[in-house]
Amino acid sequence: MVDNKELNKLEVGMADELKKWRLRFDSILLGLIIIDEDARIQDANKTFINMGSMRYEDVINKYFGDVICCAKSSGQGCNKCHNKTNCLMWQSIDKAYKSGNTQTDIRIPFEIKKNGKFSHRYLKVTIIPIIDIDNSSFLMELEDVTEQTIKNKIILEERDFYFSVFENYPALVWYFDIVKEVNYFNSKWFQFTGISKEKFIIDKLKSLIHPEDVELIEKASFQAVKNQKKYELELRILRNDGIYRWMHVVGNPFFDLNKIYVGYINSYTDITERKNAESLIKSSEEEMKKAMEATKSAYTAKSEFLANMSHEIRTPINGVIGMVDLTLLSDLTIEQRENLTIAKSCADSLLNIINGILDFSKIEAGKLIIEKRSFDLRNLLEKILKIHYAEAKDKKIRFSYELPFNMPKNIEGDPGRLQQILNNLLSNAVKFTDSGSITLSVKVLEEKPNNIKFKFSVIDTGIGIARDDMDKLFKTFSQVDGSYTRKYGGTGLGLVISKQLIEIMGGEIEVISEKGKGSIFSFSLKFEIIIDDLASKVTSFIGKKYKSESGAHILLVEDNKVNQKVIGKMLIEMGYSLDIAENGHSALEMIEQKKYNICLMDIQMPDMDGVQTTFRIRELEKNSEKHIPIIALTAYAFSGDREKFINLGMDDYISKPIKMEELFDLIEISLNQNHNKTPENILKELILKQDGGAKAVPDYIEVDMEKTAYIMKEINETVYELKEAINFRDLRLIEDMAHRIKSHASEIGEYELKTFAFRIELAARRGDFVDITKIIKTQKEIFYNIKNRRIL
Amino acid sequence: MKILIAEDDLSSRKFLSKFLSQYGECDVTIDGIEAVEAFMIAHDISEPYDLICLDIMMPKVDGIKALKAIRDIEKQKGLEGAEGVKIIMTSALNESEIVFDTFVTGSEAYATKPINLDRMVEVMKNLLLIK
Repeated sequence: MVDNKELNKLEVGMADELKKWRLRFDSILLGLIIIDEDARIQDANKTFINMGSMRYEDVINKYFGDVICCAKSSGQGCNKCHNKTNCLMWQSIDKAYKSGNTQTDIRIPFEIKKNGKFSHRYLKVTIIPIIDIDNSSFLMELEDVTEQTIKNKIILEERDFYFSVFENYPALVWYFDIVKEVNYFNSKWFQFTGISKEKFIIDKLKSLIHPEDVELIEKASFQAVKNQKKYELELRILRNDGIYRWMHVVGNPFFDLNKIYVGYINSYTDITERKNAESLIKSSEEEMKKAMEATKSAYTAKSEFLANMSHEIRTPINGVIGMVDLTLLSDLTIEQRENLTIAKSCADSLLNIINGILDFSKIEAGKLIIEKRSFDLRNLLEKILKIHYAEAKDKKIRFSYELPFNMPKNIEGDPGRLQQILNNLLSNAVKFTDSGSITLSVKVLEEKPNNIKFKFSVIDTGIGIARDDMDKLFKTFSQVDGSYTRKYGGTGLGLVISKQLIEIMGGEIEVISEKGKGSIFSFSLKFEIIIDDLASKVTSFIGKKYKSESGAHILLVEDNKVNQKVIGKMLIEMGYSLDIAENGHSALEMIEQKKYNICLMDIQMPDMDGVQTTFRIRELEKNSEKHIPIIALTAYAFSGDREKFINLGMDDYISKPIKMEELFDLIEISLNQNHNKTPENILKELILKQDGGAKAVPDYIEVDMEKTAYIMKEINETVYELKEAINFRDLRLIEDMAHRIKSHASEIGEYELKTFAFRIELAARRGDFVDITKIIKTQKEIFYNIKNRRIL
Repeated sequence: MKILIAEDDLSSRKFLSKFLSQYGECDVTIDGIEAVEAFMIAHDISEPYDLICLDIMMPKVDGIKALKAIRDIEKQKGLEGAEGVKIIMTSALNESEIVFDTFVTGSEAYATKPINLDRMVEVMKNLLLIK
């Protein structure tokens, strides 16, 4: 038996223990309740009581479901919940009961009544079965995890959101990590490639890339990954329909929240449409460019054509005007004269129009050249004024001008173009002014030591221009009013050309006008002031000639008649006198008899050649102090020939065909070794070549005897025909035959005969029959002389 | 007066020779070579021309080259300045560059086509060819 006191003591101790336990039970921060098998709350700690606005008495012996309402019970309490069997809570309790095992981490949303209001809480529940002999009870830990749950929920929602963003991103997105394991492909990838998520592996990716682009992406991604840099490129990958699509690829290094590199995120955007559009634009741009170029070149070609046609277009009009003028000089009836006068004025205005168009074309084709030369501005202005003064006088308009006093005499610029501009402005002024006055005013705007700027103004009291029409003024082919064209005429090109000319010369045109009152057209241009008279310098420089003043006497040893003539003529033109020896023998004789300053020696001669002759001359000279310079004339010259000829006793040599300059230099040097003057501009042989260009020195004519004989025969026959033509007094035929003889004579170097024939030709063109007969009579020996000589 | 006309265009040639015939004997040539040749022959037979009208654009040898050749020949013969033949250049071209060239080369006058007959007469008077 237990002592009462002991018992009492025990009771007191137990009560103390219980108190202690209660204190500890209550101080635990987890909500703790003990429920029996029927889920009746047998005890609850303070933390649980405080979860809701409850009192201890209200909780004890109440059913669990009446105190804490599951969110699913719609505030009715678990007990009244219709869905008790599916309730995780009840299942867990049941499970704990049946198995006797602790059930952990049961997360259930509950409604807890606090301050009269139900509040939605998340509870983490642990059910610990307390095994007793007679009855079963459970300790329930209830942890309020509302904050944590909500936080987790948000995180999860965010994760899902971002994930879905990637999934639905309008590009193919994939991610690979440090070891290049692909961790993620978005759903667009699978849609695009048509390969299921399960089957998709990174190796597959490579097979989808266009073979031509594999290397590109591999290189780029390798480089990028190595440096953890972004890469960007364009490549083609295979779509599920078997078509390669152009992709814009961007790969970005991917860093985690701790800024540690973890891999790459790559996006592939389909740019096929853009690419197609681009190539379309590109090709159309190119086409456009081509078309533009073609237009431009066609435009320039047109302008160039017109500019080049200038002469061709003007020539026939000139013919018309000339013939009309000529006819106007003859006796005409009044009506004929009137008709022709009208015809002439038509042709004149046609020519004016054409000149305008041609000028304009020239400006457009960039072919217009602005001159720079010295001119007297006052003279030019007076000349221009004279023309327009007469026009104005006819229309009874006052015409005046203002020129500055301090005008320099000579300025440099393009007087022709300045005149053209002023002519245009003045004739416009006269054209559009019916009464009042026209004034040309020239003012000095700016004067510097070497240049001067003038302002030219043409002021009229004519019809003026409305403000709205101002911008039409300088437009191509337009006149301010279509009706003016009828009333006033003109191409409308004048002002356009003037404006462009002024601009090319560095000035600007300005218009002030009021309709019905008049207009002022003004422009300023800068000119250089010329102090020296440049023009006279130029004139004196050109035409400076060089001629030998030695008066040397030359012996030419040459067997060929043509060469005798050609070289002989050259020597005479150079101012030398000469004798000709036809062979070596006569050369020796002549040298013995006469004193020559120089001997020109042909090397190839029949009988005694140039070398032999030279040898004989030097033999003769041995007995005297004399030494005549001998220059060899040779058909062929090789380097080293000079030494050869000097060894043979000659002083120098010159090769055929002989060039006048060379010959002159050689003679002058040989005449006087101290004479170092180099000729600047040698007097030239003045025979013009047939093939164009005034080539002054004729090519050496190699005479072919066979050809000469043939030509002589031709001449012979033509002379016969010429005689016939003269008998028939057929001027056309005489001209033709004479022309033929002239050409033939020229071919074989018979200049006398050529002259004779040409004189007949000229006389025939003149229609002067008397002169023809006279020439034939006095000159016929020429022909016979030549004939005889040639036959010999 | 002896006149030489060098002009390749038929109508211009006819026009000038018909017009100038009233002042003297007119020879006509159709290119630059002929013109120079005719000029040389005239000297050879001691009947030099008093006036030469040279077109600028001619086949074979143009007027400016022919002008230069003529002046060169005169220099050789010792004919300077007023002793030389009077030369009027004629052309449809009116570029001042060309005009300037012809004066530097030694022509006396320049007439743009269509030739203004009054001006032509005036020029001939100024050159003392006619009264």
